[in-house]
Amino acid sequence: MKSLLGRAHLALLPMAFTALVCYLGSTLWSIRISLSSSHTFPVDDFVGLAQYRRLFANERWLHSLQNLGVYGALFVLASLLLGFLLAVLIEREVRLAGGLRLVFLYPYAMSFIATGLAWQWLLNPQFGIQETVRRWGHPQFRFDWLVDQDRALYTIVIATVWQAAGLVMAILLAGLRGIDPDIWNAARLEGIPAWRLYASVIVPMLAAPFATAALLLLTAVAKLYDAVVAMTQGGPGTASEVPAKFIMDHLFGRANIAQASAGATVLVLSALLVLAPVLYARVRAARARS
Amino acid sequence: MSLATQKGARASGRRAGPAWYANPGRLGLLALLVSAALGFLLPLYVMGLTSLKSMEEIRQGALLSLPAQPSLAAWRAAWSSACTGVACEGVSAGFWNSVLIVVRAR
Repeated sequence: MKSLLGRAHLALLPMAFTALVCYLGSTLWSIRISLSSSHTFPVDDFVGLAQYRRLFANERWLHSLQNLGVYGALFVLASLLLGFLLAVLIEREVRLAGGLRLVFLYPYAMSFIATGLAWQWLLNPQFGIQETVRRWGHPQFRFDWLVDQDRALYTIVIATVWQAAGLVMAILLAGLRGIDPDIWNAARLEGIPAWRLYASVIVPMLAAPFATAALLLLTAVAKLYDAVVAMTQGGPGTASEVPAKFIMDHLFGRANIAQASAGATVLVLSALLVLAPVLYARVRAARARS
Repeated sequence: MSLATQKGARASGRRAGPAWYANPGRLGLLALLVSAALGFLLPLYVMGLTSLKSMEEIRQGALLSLPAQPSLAAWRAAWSSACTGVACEGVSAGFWNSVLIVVRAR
């Protein structure tokens, strides 16, 4: 028995090595770089928190963080809401479920560098939705958020919700399928209106799938990069800059790896700060069940 | 209908009740679902349609209109002769790389 356990541990070694050296190791390496005065190449000196002070004196970085907050709140809420709505509707209309599931899920299987381009066309006022509706005979119609300083970020919310809602739908659909049929029957016998059943019984029962979906969406928020690059390149001006793009720009475009590392460290810490309560709640829930 | 058959109907996904065209609630549901599906398909539609148009036609605007002279020329170019950086071999090289990675990884 004991030797079997030993062999099991042996089999886990490559995985442990990868996790420790590649993931943890490179994270620590980034933190180390963020405390140095490196520019194009790593420099082995120590300048304390100077890079972080510089980072938080940078207007563009602050704007990126603020954008990420607004984007994250809108994106997570809208994806959960739309995903839930689609799951409920599909669950009630089973005849088309197979085909519709595919339609709602296909965006998630596609690279955003490609689909983001289609969205950029659609949202482009000169030849997208705005122009099409104008040609239909509404010459005053305006939908130019993509080039609007105050609204460019919302176009990224629209396009990424389109991508993520199908995933939420699939997760919640699995949860809905797991609900005891007796609950639906009991509600029907009692004559409880559908909205009340969903609000007071079904949604609370779906807490775990909702938490899973929220966790996946939150990681997508922190990683947001490809959609911005494909749709707005951070513009107009800095209207849709996000931290991951700031980091990539400083890492490769501006050859300032210390600033990039400092940004990456801040991003990881804030992601942990947001995710820690969610993970803690899940662990507690799992313990309560067993 | 007995409770047992009702339960069975629910579990197998079928529901008792009037046909969909006789029930305004279900009709609305269906309309909502279908319009959501059409909205979700819009970017794919645009991408597919644009791939069949000529460059001049794309510049004219009219993103959602059908191509005047559908042509697969852009598909051929994208597959074998489009330039990415200095290499002009289209997406085919990258595509076969992806295939190789998937096949080897199995």
